[in-house]
Amino acid sequence: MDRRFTPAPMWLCLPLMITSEAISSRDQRRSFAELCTAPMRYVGARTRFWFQYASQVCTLISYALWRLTFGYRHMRPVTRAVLIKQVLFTAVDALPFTGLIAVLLGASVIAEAELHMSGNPDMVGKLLVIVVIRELGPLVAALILLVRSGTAMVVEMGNMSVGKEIEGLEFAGIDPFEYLVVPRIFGMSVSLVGVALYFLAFSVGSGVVISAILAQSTAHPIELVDMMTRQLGMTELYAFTAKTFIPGLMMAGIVCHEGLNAGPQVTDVPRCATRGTVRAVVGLFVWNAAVSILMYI
Amino acid sequence: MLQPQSTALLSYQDVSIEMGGTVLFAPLSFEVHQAELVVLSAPAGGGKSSALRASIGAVQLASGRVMCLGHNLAKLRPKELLSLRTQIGYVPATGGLLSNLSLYDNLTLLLRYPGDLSRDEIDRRAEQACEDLGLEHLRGRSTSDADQQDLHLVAIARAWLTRPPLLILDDPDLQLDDESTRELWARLTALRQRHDVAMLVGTSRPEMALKHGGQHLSLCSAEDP
Repeated sequence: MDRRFTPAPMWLCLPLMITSEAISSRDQRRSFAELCTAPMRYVGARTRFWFQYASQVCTLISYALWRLTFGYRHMRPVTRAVLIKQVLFTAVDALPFTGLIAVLLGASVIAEAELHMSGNPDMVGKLLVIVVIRELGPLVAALILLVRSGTAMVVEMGNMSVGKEIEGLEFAGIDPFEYLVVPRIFGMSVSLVGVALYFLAFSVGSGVVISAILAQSTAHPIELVDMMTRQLGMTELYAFTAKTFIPGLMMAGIVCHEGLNAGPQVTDVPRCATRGTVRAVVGLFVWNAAVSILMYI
Repeated sequence: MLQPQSTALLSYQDVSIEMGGTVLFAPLSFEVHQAELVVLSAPAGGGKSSALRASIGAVQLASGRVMCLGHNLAKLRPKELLSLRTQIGYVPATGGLLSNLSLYDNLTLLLRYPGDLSRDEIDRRAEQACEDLGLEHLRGRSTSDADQQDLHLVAIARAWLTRPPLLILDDPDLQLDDESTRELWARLTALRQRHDVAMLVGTSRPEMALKHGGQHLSLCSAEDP
């Protein structure tokens, strides 16, 4: 392949040429550097730390996505096995617990709606869509996965890190990122989409059942379902995707990052578990709020 | 000091390693050839593990050069380094086994990883490696329940599974009593003699290893004259 050097266009080099002409002396160079870094002096160390942390997690997630899509034509069977195990543990094993929470949430939302909005069946349907489908469903499903699997993941990775098992993989010629991190990140995000759908089905289902039991004054359950489907549109689909797939990547990215960077002592594992869980919860709520505000705009 | 030869599987040329501003040992030069046993000894904290890690490019050298299977490790990219490591059997002091896998799954992980071997072939090779090292009944046994000797042997068997020409063992007799250490060395010697595999062993107790005909290298402190 002919790989010739292509010079950058002249107009692109012009500012650089002017700058380098203008700052020929050492003092001038120093003051130019100070000018460039001036905004950083107004930013506190804490802000810089969080910015750095977010960029590290984003890099980890982007690298995992790249490895999943363009990096390898096929996923190795060993990695696929880890991914299947991850999905089984994260999604399938969590179904009974998730179902119970979903039923209770759907029932309580519909009971409240029946109590305060009887006589306004349109509002009840709208409330179910806004509260359960757009907001609480994805959020609660994400919290369930974080509490159940995210904590397990961070402790497992932390222990592996302390026990030098990750180092052992690397020394044996196995890429720890491909074997441990990629299936966990992808498994968590895929699981979250599935579990959130399951959660919505159960909470809406329980809402409809409760409404049928209580519906003396408001809409018939079939009417309620009809009202809800009329409220659903592409916005809900975008909101659902943004509130499930991306938080799944983010939560797994944060817990993997914390687990891989656990200190050398066994006592560092609980610390990194707490840190990872708290940061993932904060990240989840920040992202959720940002998506909701964007939807409003 | 061993005389350099061109056919060496592993060669260290004036290698020194620095950690936290301290040079760990005086420049080290040696070579390991086919079927040879080289024993590297130093007291605890003398830089033995770091010196061995240099053989797989896992530490930054302060000076010198390491050639492994004809490759200059400093010039390899991370991906090439990982690929080279699959051709050498390196066993860290901790064994490096995954606690969430069974002993058998740990043993066969290196063969399953590339994904190009059938299950029967993997089982056959695993059986052979177990036979070579005298390991029995691994299937279904959890890694967390295994004793120290079995963990060491499985880690060595895992490294030996791909039949590398060179085995690098970091403290293989760590936490083993005298009887177990004797047994381990008998097995390693049999393996070396039967398959002409070269071995570089780092240990703080070189006496037992040297009984089996190894060449001894002692790491000197950088401050020693």
